[in-house]
Amino acid sequence: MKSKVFQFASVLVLAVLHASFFTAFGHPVSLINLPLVLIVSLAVGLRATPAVVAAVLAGAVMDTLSPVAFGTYILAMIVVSAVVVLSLSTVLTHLSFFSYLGANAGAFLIFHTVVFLINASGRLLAGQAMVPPGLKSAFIAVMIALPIQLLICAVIRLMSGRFRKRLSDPMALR
Amino acid sequence: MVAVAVVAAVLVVLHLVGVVPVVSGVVSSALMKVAAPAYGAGVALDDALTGEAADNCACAADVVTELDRIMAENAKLRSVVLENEELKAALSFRERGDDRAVLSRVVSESSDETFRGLVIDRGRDDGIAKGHPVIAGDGIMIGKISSVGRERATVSLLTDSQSRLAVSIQNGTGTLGVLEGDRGLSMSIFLIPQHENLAVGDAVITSGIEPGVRRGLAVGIIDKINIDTQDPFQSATVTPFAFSEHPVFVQVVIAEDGL
Repeated sequence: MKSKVFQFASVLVLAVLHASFFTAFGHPVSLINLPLVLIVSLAVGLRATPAVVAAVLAGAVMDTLSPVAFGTYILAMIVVSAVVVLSLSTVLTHLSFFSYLGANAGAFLIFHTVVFLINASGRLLAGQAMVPPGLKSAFIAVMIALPIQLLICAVIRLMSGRFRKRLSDPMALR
Repeated sequence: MVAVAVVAAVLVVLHLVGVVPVVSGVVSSALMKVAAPAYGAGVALDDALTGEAADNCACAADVVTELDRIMAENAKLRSVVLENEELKAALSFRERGDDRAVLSRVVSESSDETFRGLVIDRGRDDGIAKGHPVIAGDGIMIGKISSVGRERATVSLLTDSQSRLAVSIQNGTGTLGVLEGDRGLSMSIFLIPQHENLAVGDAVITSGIEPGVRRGLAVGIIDKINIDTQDPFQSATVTPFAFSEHPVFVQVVIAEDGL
């Protein structure tokens, strides 16, 4: 119970930081999505329901603090968590370091694709051009942010591995 | 998992149709209170990092530690100085004009390249409506309100590709034009007749012909003039004022004509 409260509190804090603190830095830092890393980590641990709950919480906070239509990030986060949970239980069944990175890369790209599709639908309904002028630079920014996101994922994974090892065997790392 | 997604979808729909305004209002205003200082800290840190990166040097380990401490202290002081400067400028604008202006804190910026905008912590409850001009510092127009909620509003920056604003160029004849944003980077004025004399450095201000936006708000400075002899019109690239980059405080000018 305590760990769940900690996980959800962490997701909320990361979502607030993602939607406010990091946006001040511009691209590519503002595109790095730390709540997504935590949600994928929960999904990798095959904890589907906590992953989706965390996705909804993070999406709600990001929707409240971002200039997008309410529900955009909630939907994107739910889609991402569902795809990651399903792919980990059917395709990426061997939970290696690289499948973890692959899941994060997929989640990051799906997240931005879903957000783009929702925004494009909104623009279309409002009678504007579906493809905005900044699309090419937006795509490049996401591609630049992807390796940074994966580097953060790798560091977190390695650190959590060392942390777990230390907890299970304090003598092992001496 | 499916149940959680369905509950979330129902809550989103209820929020959009305004059935849960009390709960969402309380949560939203609590989040804004936390997010606004976080954004301010981000802007101060970004300013400090971009300033310090230029004169980075290799130093001994103890000096680096001391430097880190001083840099952290410097970042905090910059944050206070930045807020102080912006509030002073806002106060100066208020003292000069007769307009009613609502001072707001910026909560976040758009992280989407296809939309350049800000979220501010004031909304319909403070009299803000769609189309109201948003200014930073001492009367520099940076954008317009594009959507408004009870206690929050979204600002579409003038540099956003969808943004349009009626402007006047201070070139002696007061040439009128429509300013368009260019992918969040700069702004351009199109359809200026060839016979109009423009010069690099001419100031661009709001023309006052647009409902709700009064004349005389500073927008930017002409940076480049594009003349094609085959074209009956010329265009000009406008650079926004530096003050308008990453504002921590902004003011929304409330139109008296009930826009």
